[in-house]
Amino acid sequence: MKKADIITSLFLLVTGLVMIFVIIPAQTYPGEEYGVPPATVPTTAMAIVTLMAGILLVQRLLDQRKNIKDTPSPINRLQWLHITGLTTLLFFGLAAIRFLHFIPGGILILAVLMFITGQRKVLTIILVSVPIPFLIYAALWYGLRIPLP
Amino acid sequence: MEVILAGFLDTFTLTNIAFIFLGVTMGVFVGAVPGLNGPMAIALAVPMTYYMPSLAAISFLIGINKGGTYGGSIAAILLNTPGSPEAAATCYDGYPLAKQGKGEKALKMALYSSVFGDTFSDFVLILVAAPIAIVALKMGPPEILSVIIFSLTIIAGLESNQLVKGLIGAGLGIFLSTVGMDPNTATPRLTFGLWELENGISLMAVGIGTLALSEVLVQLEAKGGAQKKIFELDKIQKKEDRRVSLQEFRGVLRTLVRSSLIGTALGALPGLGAVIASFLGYGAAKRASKDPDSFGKGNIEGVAAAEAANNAVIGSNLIPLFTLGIPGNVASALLIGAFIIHGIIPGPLMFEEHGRLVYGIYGGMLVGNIFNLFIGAIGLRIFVRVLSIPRNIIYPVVIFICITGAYIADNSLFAVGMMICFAVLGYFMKKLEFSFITFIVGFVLGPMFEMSLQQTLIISRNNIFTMFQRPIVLVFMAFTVVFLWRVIQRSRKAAQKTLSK
Repeated sequence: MKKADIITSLFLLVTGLVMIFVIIPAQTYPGEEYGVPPATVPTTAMAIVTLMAGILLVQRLLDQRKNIKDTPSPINRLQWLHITGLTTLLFFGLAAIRFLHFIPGGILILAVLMFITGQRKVLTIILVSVPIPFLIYAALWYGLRIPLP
Repeated sequence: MEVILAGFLDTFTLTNIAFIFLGVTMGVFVGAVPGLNGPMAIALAVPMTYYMPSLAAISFLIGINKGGTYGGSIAAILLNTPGSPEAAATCYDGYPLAKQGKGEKALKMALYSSVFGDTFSDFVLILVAAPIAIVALKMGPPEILSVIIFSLTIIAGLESNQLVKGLIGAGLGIFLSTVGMDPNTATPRLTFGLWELENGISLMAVGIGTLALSEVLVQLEAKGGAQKKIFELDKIQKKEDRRVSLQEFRGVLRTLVRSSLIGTALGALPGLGAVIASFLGYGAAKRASKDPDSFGKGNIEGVAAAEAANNAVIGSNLIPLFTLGIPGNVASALLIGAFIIHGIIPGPLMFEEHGRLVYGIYGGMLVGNIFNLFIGAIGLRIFVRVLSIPRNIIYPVVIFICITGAYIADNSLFAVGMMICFAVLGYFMKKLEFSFITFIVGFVLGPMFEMSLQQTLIISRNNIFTMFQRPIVLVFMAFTVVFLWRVIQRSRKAAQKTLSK
């Protein structure tokens, strides 16, 4: 965890500095006519993040010098693969809803997710993935008049 | 006296009772579904009340708010997904209890605490509405700013020995809340040219992503996790894990009273809502506890503290509305619309011109609490049964509900994409032990923080130090310093202990 904290705090430190000196000034209107300028609160918030990341980095480096035993890394290679795969799948699901619309896209997402999480019974997959998008669509559109794609 | 009695008796007509029942039922259902919440349902229901009698209409909407606030705890406990933002603090102990097979016990405690806190604040509303509103009126932007700073520090400090990580979360939350239109100059800020970001990042995208979807991502990576049930029903069958004994209820009575007081006091202050109340109530319970380390690991007192506090806001939030015409939160603001539909202007004159209606509403609120208890008790078993379904069925369905929730909150697929990004952020925050709770609270309080900072600087002509001349500000800032000092001391002791080991 110590190593992970060092990498994370370094990342936050660099990101914070880039935000404060490059992105926030470029992405905010420099209005200073009345009240607080638009950049004040984002800069203050990022300054807190950067400062705290700096403190965390120093703390962990000191811990390393004191030879405090480190715990294993919280994310291993398999978990990196897991999170990358699932995120990609979710974005594909989003595209499915965008192009196939809510009900067919929903059926596809549910069926694929059930399959990759280990459900192998075709009947169960059909019984869950088909009626749920229909039910949600009916409840939201006919019940609450909420439009869905 | 005649008006008071007549008003209370008006509540007990069949139409009013039916609408209160319907409102609470709808509220519990809507609150329990992640992505839907009470204010959203109130907004949709206001036009329907046009055809209802005044008392039935207002009681119906208040019923939705009551049910919705309690309903949020159901998803918080069973799925670690606050159905509504104010139930976020309930996840702390509710979900660990559910994982231990004590989901039904946690749900029951949440129900009893919700009804306790709600009834407490309703009585406060009935008895001392006017005097409290006068005090609340004295709270200006500097006082609100000091309360926000105090709340954020307390919440960050709740992450024991991890104040630095807690503050990083809070800072990131505030930073992301500034994306969108600048409230002062009305110019786009940090939008990178994307018009979808001009209204800011959707709270539901942030909430659903970091709390719900990220948790599902974590759960799915467990070895064989997807094949298992969320927890086995036989674990729940133990009688002591299914009910809250009288002794247990007595044990949390102090916490309930404390949290109800916190929720009621904060609810009476316009702008400070149930989210802050629940976290402050939780923090106060943790500090007062003999066993603070058990909080966050499944302490039933944590559930009681958060739920009593957030529900205690419901009644007292109507204090500024009824006595001054100022809405205390989104739900109260929507209620103004319903009042106006029925030709009533909320404010001090309402007591004089529509006294009977006001006492009828009070009666409706108390009946609503009884219905909340009744509907909650019946619904518990159904919600607990949901957990006996295998994960490879329930998690895909939860993911699909998350996608739907993020979509309907903002009516755009862009919000769904944002929700997925926040899920990944939440996943890493959980893995690296950064506080996603302070992150969300920072995100929720960010706009309020900025607004009160703006107003404070404008009224003090850019000299922020003048705010320290106000006694309430001084008290809250002193609390903040003392709290910070105590957290730092505690961290030092913990570090010394580790070093000596």
